[in-house]
Amino acid sequence: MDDKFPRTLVWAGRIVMFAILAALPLISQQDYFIHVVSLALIFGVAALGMQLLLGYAGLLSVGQAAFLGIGAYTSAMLTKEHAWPFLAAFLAAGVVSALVSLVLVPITRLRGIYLGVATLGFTIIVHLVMVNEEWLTGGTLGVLAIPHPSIGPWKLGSEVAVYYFCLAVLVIVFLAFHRLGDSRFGRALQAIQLDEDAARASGINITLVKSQCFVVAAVVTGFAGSLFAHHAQYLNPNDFTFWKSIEILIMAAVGGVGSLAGAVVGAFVVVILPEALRAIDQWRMVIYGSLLIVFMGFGPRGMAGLFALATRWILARGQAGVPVAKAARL
Amino acid sequence: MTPVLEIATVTRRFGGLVAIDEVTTAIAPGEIRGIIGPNGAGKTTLLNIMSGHMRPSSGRVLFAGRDITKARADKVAAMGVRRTFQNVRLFGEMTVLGNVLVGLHANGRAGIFAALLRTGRQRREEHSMIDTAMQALERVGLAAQANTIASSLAYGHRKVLEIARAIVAAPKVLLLDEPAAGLNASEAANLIGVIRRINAEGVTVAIVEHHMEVIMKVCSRITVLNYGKHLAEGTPAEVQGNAQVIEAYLGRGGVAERIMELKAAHA
Amino acid sequence: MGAAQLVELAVGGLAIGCIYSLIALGMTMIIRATGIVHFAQGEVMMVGSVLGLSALLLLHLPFLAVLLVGMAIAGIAAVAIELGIYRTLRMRGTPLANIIIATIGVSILLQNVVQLAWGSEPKSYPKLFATDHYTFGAAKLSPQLIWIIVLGVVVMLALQAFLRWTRTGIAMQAAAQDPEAAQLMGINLTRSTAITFLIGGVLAGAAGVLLGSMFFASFSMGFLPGIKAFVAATLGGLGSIGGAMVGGILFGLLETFGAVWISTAYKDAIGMVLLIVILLVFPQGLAGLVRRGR
Ligand SMILES: Nc1ncnc2c1ncn2[C@@H]1O[C@H](COP(=O)(O)OP(=O)(O)O)[C@@H](O)[C@H]1O
Ligand SMILES: [Mg+2]
Repeated sequence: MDDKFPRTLVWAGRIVMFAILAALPLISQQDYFIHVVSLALIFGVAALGMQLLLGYAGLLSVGQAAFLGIGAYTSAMLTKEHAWPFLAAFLAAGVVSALVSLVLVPITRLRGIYLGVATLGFTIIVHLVMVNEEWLTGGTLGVLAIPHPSIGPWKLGSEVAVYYFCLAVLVIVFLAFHRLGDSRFGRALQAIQLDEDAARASGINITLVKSQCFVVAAVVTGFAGSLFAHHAQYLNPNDFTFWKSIEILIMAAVGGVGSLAGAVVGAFVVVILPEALRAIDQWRMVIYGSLLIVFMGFGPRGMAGLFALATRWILARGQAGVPVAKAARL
Repeated sequence: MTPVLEIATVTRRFGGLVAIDEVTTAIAPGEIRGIIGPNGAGKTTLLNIMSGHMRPSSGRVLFAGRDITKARADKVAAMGVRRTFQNVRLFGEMTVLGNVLVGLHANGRAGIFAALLRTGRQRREEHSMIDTAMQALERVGLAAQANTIASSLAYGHRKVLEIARAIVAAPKVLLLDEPAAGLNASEAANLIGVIRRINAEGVTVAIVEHHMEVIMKVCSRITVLNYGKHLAEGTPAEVQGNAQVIEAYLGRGGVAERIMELKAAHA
Repeated sequence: MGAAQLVELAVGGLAIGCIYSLIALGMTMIIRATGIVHFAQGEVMMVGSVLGLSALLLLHLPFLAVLLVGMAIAGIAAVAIELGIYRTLRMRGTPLANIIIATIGVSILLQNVVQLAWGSEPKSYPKLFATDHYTFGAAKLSPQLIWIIVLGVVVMLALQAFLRWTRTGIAMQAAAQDPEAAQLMGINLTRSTAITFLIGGVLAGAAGVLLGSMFFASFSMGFLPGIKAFVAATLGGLGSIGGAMVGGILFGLLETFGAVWISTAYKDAIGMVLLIVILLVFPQGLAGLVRRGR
């Protein structure tokens, strides 16, 4: 099978996607619009973390909102209460999130739904800590007036500036995960997902690799949390309920399990759709629920799979070309 | 000479069932050991215990004199005991080359940061891993299919791919669970060649097999298991003699008991 | 803490536990038959509660009749969802994980359709019992709670009897354990799966009317109990019927006593911590304990 053709195709798809993202502020500079698409980028970062867990390693986590929240509160508190510069707080958000994820190491030996339920429990516990520990998080009142992000002396005061900063983070995380997928670590993740016994027989320490995967996802989700805090400039525990964990899971699945671009597209669908449907106010959640069912019916590769099928059909008429399994790993 | 692999009075129970019953045996360096016995005799269980996929209920397993009874499967694999599975377990969605690269996991050192930064060292390691993997594929005759998705291979090719994945890291011991099952005559002949070549390169082999021709042709010694018990052990000729004894008693029931009686009488 | 308060708490915990058990039982049966984790089970319960209340208000039915109406409506709703949505997805070859996420879509859909059709305001069930409370020694027990426990237990016993002694029940069990063999023996899988959803829905409907009679009915009442029942089913060991019953009741008791003894604020966390600890010891839930013991 030809390896080169699909690779080019995959990269073409990715470049088109990022070009569109880079051009979005040209369509409209309206603050509300930019604010919402920035939020989609931020959840794109979190969804990439989820994709590493679910799509690469087959780990069902319903705990990502906890790491989003931990990153968000860390960054908010450090900049607000301790006057840390934004970039330092941003990095700290990833670090603290990673440290907390170490608590989950024993859980990684659970499988499938059991892992999902345990991480769900983790989200619920972390949420209750946010609600109840006022000294730490401000409790139900939340944290107000979180400063804008800034890079050194350069303050990202406008919505558009924040947008491009989020986009830069998304691109970096995307490329980083692409590299990870194509490495010894990425192969180990995939091997574990496909057959744990065979992976062990090949000398892979399953607990170690799974834990590393959780930690990497936590770092990235912590970064997303920091962006979330400084983008919204206001935090409230209700932003980090287990429902948010489920939404992040949906993002990775809607776009196509295993596909990086799919996770980004999924984040846009989940964040933008309810906003876009605002015009039909009372029907919007009905339509949202129905679309979720329909999207899931698209098959294992979600929208990325559809894209692969469509491009194969348009570009490669008659050629044996792209194996869908591979093309869908956009 | 220290045996490469030593099983010392190993017992394994599943609830009330005794799948392995005080089995003791030692495999010498360079040997090709056959393990035979009827279905349910405990052959796969014994292999699982040797590879660290299962703990024995009692008894010890030694690898090159070191106690590995409690070692995890991945550690045992990293130490140089590799295996295949009875029902071929490949990473189906990965390419043929990818499968073999996974077999090299424990030999690599590049971690997450190296992969993120694509350091020179990480790239060199990737390249040398790919070279090693391609050599392993050549040894089993699969180099041409390196970029094929593993699940789309023919059955015979899947079985040798699993062997390639097991030998790529240059193990000391290779454990094969029914490698010839489901192969046609020419594929089986090819398999015999592959096993001999691997053994000639210094790998000790233990092979569970029903295919008597393969067993008799390649094995230097054979262990017979029955109902979890160590029934007989010797060269193919010796065991064949014994096997005829088994034949003679077939149908009159209590095969195992009769053999035990015979052994007791000779002891 | 006095004995009276202890009894009152235990009864309260048992009552809420019975409700979790009823929902968890449906989830467990669906998991056994199809592998689907049915996140919309809480919404099926809500449909039973909401429409049961409507029937009560419109037709002035007695409580037991309301219970039956709620069970019937929820059962029908569950079958409609199975035949209309999940079966279609399965026939398209949709992978299980996608179907499970689709059940979240169904949950959103049901909540919002009911909100549109029935309104956003929670509505109270009318007072169902003449007395305010029964008195046992110093303990004052609300008749609601007693009835919930009694009816909950009756429904669960009826389920056991159905599964053990009726042809349909036995066929369902067989189909869940080994679909291929069951099919060879002439069991119609589509029908048996539909019946599984029917029964799961009926159980959830009972939970809905009972829960509604305790507090109120509203379009959003199903989600949290649904998630908690799912956790309870996992605690018991997914796919084990006994595990779902025990897990639900245990979870209800734990939540109630934990709130009083440990912390009201962390009431929901207590169950989760215990869940994680139990899973660490028995990665397959409490049913693993029984299996291991054998
Ligand atoms: N994981 C297990 N749990 C329970 N029983 C097992 C397990 N593995 C094997 N057995 C039982 O142990 C006995 C030996 O099995 P096995 O080693 O697979 O035999 P063989 O490979 O010689 O055919 C059989 O009776 C089998 O049913
Ligand atoms: Mg076997």
